Amino acid sequence: MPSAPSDIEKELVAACLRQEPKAQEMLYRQFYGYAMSVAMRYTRHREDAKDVLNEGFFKVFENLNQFDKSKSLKAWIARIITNQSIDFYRSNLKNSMVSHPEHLENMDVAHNQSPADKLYAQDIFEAVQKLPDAQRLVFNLYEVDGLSHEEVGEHLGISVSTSRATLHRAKQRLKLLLQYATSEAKKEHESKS
Amino acid sequence: MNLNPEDKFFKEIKHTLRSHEFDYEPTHWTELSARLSQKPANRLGGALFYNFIGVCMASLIVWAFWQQNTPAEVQSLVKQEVLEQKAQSHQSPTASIAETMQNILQNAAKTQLKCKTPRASTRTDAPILAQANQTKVNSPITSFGSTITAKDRPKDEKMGVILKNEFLVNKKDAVISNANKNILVNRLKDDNPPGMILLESMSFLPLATKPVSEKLRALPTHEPHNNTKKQAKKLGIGLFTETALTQNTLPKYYLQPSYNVQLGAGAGANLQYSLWVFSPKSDLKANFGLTYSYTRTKHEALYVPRKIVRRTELNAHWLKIPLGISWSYGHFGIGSSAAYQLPIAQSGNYWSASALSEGGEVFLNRQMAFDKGFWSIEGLASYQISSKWALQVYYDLALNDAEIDAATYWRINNTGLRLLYQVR
Repeated sequence: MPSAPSDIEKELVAACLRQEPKAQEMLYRQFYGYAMSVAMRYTRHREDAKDVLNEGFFKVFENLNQFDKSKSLKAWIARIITNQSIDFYRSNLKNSMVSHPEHLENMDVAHNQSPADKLYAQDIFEAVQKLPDAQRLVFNLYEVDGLSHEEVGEHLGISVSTSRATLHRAKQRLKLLLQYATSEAKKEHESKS
Repeated sequence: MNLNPEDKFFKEIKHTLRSHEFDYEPTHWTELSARLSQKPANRLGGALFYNFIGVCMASLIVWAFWQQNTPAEVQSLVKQEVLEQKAQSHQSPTASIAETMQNILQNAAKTQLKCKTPRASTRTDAPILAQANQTKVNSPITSFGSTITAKDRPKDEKMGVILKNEFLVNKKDAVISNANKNILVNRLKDDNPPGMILLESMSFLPLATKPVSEKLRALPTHEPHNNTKKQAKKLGIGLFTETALTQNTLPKYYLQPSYNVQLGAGAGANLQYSLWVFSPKSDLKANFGLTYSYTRTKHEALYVPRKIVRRTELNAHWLKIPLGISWSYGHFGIGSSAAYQLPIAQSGNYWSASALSEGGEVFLNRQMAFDKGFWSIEGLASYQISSKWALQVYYDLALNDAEIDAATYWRINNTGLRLLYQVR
């Protein structure tokens, strides 16, 4: 459950409102890891994530006076980063909603293994980033951030049924991608040993 | 609760995605802090400063050219003329409007009132202004206070068609980073396609002309032109309406509404109101105006630097407040303007900008993705090669183009060479 900002966070916010660069850096540093994580799972690659992150933080600093101090600062920042990510891909979203041909048929996937077992966080993020824009956004909004299909539709300007269908495709694809990543990791491990 | 393997699998994935935190990278902060430290006031100050420098340098070049290429006799005549006009204007500083009107009518009667000669346009490109003056110089029937209406104007004087072929010498953006002052040429710009062909037609209703004395009329000129508007250099297809108010004494003022439809890299409509203040003696002009534009664009854009994304966007309205100044003499003209553009939308919308620059109208079709207002500066130097050809060098500088690069504050959006050709 997101909690209200601690006293230190409140002090940081107050200092940021006074445009103190040191405080801005501290705030950035404190929430960088989590905010970058949000940006990474919503974007295609690290460079995009960095752009989204910095644009999002720019808005955080610009709109800090609007932050409700009774609510979680971390959640507020995450929401800004999420919205920034959606904006980042919004113009491309319509095309991206069109079903993408799956190019994973030829992957050498060991279907009987449990994919998540041997995966590192990096593999998971990479797999999510490989999803088409629309699938990635819907998956993140629904599965990770816990929005309903109605809310996802509202955010992305799509219908509920499109959201459902896109999520289904996203999960299928993600599963294949992760299975592929697992089998690749296994092969690498075997060749080393 | 028992979960099936797939649910369990995704639960683990979700947990990882939610809980994982990335290591801090100081370089990311460096980019953002540079942007944060740039105050809007600094950006404005910088814009005005560089604009001022640009205008000064260009004026110096024009002045040097004037000194070198204008015969001493002509210079002396012009100076004498200016002095005489000044003396005239000081003789009756408190003259009533009725007296002024009487003077106008008397002068007009003396010099064949209601002639079918176009007025000297001050709205058009800088070289055109210069030629407008020359037109009057050569035309014995142009008179102070003469009134010309659209009805009076011959048909061929009301419409002009301009065919332009625009090409950019520099196809890359020069991005000047504020952090290290290095000039980086790092981005290919695809939203200003070369070889753009634009057509323009226009109609206007001038109401006043500038007084010209016999001495000035007798001066030699480079090339006489009957219709200054025909040589106007603007981009797009436009219908311009001009309304002018003038006084017996200088300076003049007029409000200029214009309606402009643009074709090319973008298509749209542009509604613009400009208040011009100018002094025909020095050819110095300044304008203050508002522009509303509605543009639909379909072209390549670089919103994300590393990816070229094809987009079709319906852009909403934006507000632009330009402030410009220009100066011209003979075949040369120079102009510069700064504009504050205020997109009225949330982040994520894209804006197309049509830039007004005195000495020429620079049309930009750069897509912007700002959620705040920003400044841009446009400038243009032009050289009228002949009655049909003109060469223009122009630049457009946008400030706080941080959407493109977090560390970028100054950005040359568009700079290049433009060759203009008019089809009569």
